[in-house]
Amino acid sequence: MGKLIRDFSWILGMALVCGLIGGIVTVLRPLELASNSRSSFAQNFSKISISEFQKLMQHKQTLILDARAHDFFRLGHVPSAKNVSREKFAEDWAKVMKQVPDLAQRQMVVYCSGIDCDDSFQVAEKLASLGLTHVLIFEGGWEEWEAARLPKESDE
Amino acid sequence: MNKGLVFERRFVLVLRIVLGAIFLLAGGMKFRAPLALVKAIEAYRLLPETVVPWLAISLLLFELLIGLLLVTGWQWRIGALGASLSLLVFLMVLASAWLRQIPIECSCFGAITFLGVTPQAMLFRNMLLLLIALFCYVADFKKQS
Repeated sequence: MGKLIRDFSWILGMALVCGLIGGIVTVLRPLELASNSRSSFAQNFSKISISEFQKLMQHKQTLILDARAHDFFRLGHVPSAKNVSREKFAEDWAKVMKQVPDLAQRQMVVYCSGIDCDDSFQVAEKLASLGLTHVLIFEGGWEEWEAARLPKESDE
Repeated sequence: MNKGLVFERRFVLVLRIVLGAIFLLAGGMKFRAPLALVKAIEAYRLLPETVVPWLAISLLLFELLIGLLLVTGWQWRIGALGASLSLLVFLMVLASAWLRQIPIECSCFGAITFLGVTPQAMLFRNMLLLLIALFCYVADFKKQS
């Protein structure tokens, strides 16, 4: 029992030291933290609002890409969106290439979970590396879409 | 020395080094992009936003410290207990997010996908790591008693 108490005291001490250093870092370097907020390539893509996204959806040439993991996509997604997840990009993109003609001509809009996620930017970067440059980011993502109570599709 | 005991010690040695390496990797990935961790913690909607950056930095330091203890072997039993406690807390947080149907992304290893990113995969991965950490701690605790 004594050993257990000693071990827990160590953990408490470690947590206090980490908390103290964490507090000092948070106070002294808040700006440096903020500069890491997005992938470095995020600035390369234009971001659109939910109303702009809805307008673009009316054009048949617009291709909507959901960058979230497959399980989240299956639970619910923007109508007619194709799932091109960040972690299985090559596999998912190969499927889209088979299903959708004239990809190079199409306007693409990528979204992920919401304002906090980075996956849409990473997928957009991969698309850009394939020479597809008509890519926009709907930054509000699924969270904003759901909050606005807009129509959705699910694969369940 | 008893062969079984030698085998157990070697087994624990391998497990703690693997566990420590995982903690160092996870901590290192978060250290490279701490704000991704801040956003991941915010997504759980459990704490006020003002507290989250402090918690994120403290957590990643704690994770790196545990990894160092486990890999170097200095006070590694404390490292195993720290790993167990932090994994247990994360498991509870993960379960609460799953029950509340909040779409969360782990951000545990940055861009690296380790045993999947779905809630089920994250729960499985954490339970596995928790079992390893507890096994290491209990094995050494019993030896020292």
